[in-house]
Amino acid sequence: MKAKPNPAGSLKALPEEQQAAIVEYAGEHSLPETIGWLADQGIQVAADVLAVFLSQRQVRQQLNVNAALVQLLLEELAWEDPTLSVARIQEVGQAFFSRMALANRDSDLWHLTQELDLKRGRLDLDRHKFQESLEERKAAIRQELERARAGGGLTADTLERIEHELNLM
Amino acid sequence: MKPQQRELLRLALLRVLEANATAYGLGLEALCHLAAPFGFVEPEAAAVAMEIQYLEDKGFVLPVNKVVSPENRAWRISAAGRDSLAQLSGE
Repeated sequence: MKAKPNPAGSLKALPEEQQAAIVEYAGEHSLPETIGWLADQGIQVAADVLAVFLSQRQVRQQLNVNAALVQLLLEELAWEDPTLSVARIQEVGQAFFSRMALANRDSDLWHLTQELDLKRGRLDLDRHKFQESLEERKAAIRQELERARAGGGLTADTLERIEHELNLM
Repeated sequence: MKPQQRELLRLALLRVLEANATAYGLGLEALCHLAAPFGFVEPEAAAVAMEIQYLEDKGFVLPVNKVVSPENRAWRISAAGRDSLAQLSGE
């Protein structure tokens, strides 16, 4: 008799290391292969449940990276302009975070394809696409900075410093 | 959008919001973009806005308080939203 597939919650209830191992395995194997691999470990899971689990992990990871980047930017902002209130910094952070949620997927995809294409020697085209995507992202962040300055709290010096930092990204 | 599709979209939005473990909320554009892995590739913003309002009315998502640019709304999942998602997903 076939075991009843685990709901997604059961995958989320697994230890973090095991969840990370599933994500890593799934990144290099197909969904059916991953289901078979999990079954070998006594974990029965349906394809749709596994797909949702993997998607949520992917989105969570992306957003965590974004939040970390925003935090770095905000620390720089606060250091440059100590007069900024916590509430104002949080507002700016929220604005950055919202924009980055739109832009990061392209760069994540680029990082994944980069690893493969380094081996295949087909990197130039993707780098060009990534640069375009990066420019769009920079433009979006600049726009947010302009809005933040218009909203008060950002000095021209701070803005210039951040723009300089963005050019180094 | 058919009722069944709306239900799936609500589920997808809750899943996106549940995946957000950061201190920030997600705005409408971000929700539209991040719904793709859950079966909704760039859904119409109007449809997403309607469903997020429904989820907010139900108490499943909470608006992030914004002093500046409050028109650019953002949301986080609530405890009730997590419970509902767990029930709907059979978790």
